[in-house]
Amino acid sequence: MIGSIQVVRSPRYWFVTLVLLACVPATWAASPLDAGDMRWLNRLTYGVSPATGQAYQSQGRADYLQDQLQYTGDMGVPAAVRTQIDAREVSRLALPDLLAEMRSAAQQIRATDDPAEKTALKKAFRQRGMALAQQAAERHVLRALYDDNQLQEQLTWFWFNHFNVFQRKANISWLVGDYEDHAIRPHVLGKFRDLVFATLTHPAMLDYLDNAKNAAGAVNENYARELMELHTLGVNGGYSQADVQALARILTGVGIDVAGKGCARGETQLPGVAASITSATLCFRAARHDSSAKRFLGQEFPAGGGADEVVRAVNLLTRQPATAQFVSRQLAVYFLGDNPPQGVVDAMARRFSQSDGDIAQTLDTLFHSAAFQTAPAKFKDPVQYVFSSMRLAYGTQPIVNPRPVLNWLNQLGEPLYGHLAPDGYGLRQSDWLSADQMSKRFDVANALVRSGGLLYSDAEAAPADTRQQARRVARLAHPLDVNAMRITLQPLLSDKTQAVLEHATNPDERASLLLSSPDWMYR
Amino acid sequence: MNRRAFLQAAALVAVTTPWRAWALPAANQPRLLVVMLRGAYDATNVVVPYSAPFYYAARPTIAIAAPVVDNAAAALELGGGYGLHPALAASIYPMYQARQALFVPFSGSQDTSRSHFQAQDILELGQDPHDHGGLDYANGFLNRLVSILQGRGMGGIAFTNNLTPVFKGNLDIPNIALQGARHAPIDARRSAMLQALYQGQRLENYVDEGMATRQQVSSLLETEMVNASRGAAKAAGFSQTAQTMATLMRDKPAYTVGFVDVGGWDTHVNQGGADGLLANNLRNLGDGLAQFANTLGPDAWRNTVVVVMSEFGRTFRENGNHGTDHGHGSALWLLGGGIMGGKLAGEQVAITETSLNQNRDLPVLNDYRAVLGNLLQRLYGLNAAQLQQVFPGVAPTDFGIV
Repeated sequence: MIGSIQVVRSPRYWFVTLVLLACVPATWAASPLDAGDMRWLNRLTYGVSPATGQAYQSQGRADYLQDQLQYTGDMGVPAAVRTQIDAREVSRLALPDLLAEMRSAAQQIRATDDPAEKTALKKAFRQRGMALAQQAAERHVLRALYDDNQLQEQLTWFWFNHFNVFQRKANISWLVGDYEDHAIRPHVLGKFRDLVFATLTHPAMLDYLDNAKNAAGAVNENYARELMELHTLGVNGGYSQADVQALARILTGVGIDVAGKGCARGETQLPGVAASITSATLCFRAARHDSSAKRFLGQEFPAGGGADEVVRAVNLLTRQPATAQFVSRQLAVYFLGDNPPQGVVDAMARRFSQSDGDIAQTLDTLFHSAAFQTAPAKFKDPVQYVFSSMRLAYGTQPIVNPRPVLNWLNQLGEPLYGHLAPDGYGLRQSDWLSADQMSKRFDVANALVRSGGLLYSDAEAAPADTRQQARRVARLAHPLDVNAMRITLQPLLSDKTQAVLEHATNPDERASLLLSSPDWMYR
Repeated sequence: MNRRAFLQAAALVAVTTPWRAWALPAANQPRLLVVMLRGAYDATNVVVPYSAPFYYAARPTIAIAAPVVDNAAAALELGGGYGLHPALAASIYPMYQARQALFVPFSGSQDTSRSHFQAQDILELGQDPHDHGGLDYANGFLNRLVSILQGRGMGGIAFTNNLTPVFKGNLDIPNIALQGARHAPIDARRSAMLQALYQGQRLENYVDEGMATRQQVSSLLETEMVNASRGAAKAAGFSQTAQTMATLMRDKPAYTVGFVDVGGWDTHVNQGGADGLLANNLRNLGDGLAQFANTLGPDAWRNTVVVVMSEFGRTFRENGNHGTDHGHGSALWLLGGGIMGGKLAGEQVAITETSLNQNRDLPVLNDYRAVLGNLLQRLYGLNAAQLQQVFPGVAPTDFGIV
């Protein structure tokens, strides 16, 4: 049967399509988006849903872009979703309180001599961290799927990945939610330098790349190297091993107010950097700082310096032309294509330098470039694949249980906060396209279209029989509209895909095939 | 033939031969498994230069004690003033004593960036460091090897989540992640529809190969599970992966060149000595590799070589946090039932403060490409031209390893 598929559409297909076209909202059906609009929107957002299509059409491209380039916090998140986000404890815990809780839990563990109790307390400590990280990941999913400001949510993923930390190292699971919410998200469209200061001073990064332990006489160069190689200059950015060692010494003393005593004899601020940018638990200890003279990137740092050296070094790093190039290229790879034209990167880097590292302006140059208007399709990474599939299949009806979504990300090899090394996940097709990846996407597509019951009921604690019943009810209440999915995607579907979809015998199968199609693997 | 011409020729071969070359089983077919330790493992505490006083001066809190009888925390005698980390006592050391394991200290690539990511790429690509045309990121040395071997019915498989640079290239290599995954095959009806969706499309090969690999793996592992469940202890972590790899490589002629990576070696802080972070990682790795050999069985193990490699070594001196920072020279491991093991191979230098590279880390005296080139030549009988295809520009050297 299947072997003889031809690109011939059955009369039933046309009938169904026409009837459905007649049913969709007039504004939407009257002027469907063309393929160019779709591709543009699929880059700016995690994927077109009927709602984004409407917003785009009523605003026009220029105004829509203007809005996306503004940081709006949770203002673009629908009220029902905001309620879910606010209900999670991770959204209410202040970082100093979190550290205090960790401290007292650790004290309890130390205090007990009973081995069984010690083991139990340690387990509870780990589980508490995992629960907080899980809440943060769920919040990430909810914002990514439903925030009208899709660009800032993509950038939250992008910049987290750029300044990656791994939740399973040390106690970072406790901190990763605050890191994403305070060190990354508020700055994703702001000044690049603010991202550097915010991550540099956050306990998650200080623990992850060991700078919390970096002290005069006990120098640890881990963070210094990655700050140049991965965060600012890039590996070919023109620094030497001597620069790595000098920067490591400059960064000695930047640590965490672990004791919660207001950082006794230390400084809680970096000179000239706003308190709103650096972490609330920063503690710079002059006694641990190597105050001897240094030479860094060709500049003299005379003896006797303190926290001012850190600020000077970051300013120096973020203003290097190599940094403008490296950051611009990373953004262009993510939004434009695996090998962005040098001319586009140069234009972005110029704007970056002229605007003192303003990310929104740098992106504005990218999105207005000619190359961006005609960019060839780019293979989705697993995060983009799963989020776009969710947006297409379930639209603006907010889910109440994001856990299946997180499981699909795990299955496809790109869990949130789950990349061990500081380089973050790869951004190119070659990082993701493989035989195993394709099979797994087919599994995920198949599960996703059948998971309405799981996604729209949150009855984990309920007895098995009521849980099953709740899922059945939830699924019936949130049916998948495969025809709407198809109409939304129409401009991007090949004739071949359309023809194969005709052979599906039920809506679930058709939706699963649509999400498995080659057209859907790219954005 | 220059590199570009070769690549073009290889591309033609790739187009005209079927991607999946299911071959007839060959009794004595050689097998190769490359294990990549990502994060740069601390080779100095694995192949321990216990006879160098400077070793103990440079590592006051993390050094491994010189071999002593009845001290389980001491190094195990390797000869030549070197000892093996005690965490490998039950796994790799017995192989060494049976001449089925050897180490090549002072080895690695010529890369001096000390960047994990650049150094890993360079190691996996295995291209000529003197070719200044820049790295070709889509051309790894195992892909080039399999291009030569596929005519003999051999093929490659990556046991990784994604295809990493070592297997990128003109030939499309299948991959399957073994950790924590179930591999239920996709049913026939859906397979057919999916194949129809991708027929003639640029992703078609990946789709076909993904479904075929899964079919193979799931049916094989089903049999294996039934066979192996007779009282056998369930392997944990890497051991379980290793057991599955061995099963697949033993029974599937098309999976004769394997690649797997193991992370978590970047020990900047509290790496420990005889116990601790590094020791635990080594025990897990060693147990897995022993499991791999056991599962293959003596006949297949005789024709198998396992290579363990890592992007660079670490600083010879410990840092301020009982850890080590990024360095240069590392140590390669070669394991296999038929190798000339039980020794350290390659050039060495007495370790003193002045023999360090940049007063910081171990020098690279044995280019890993030359060592692996020598191995592949012997294992597969590669001729000089084929060696140049796999490792362009490498000078044939006999390390006396196989």
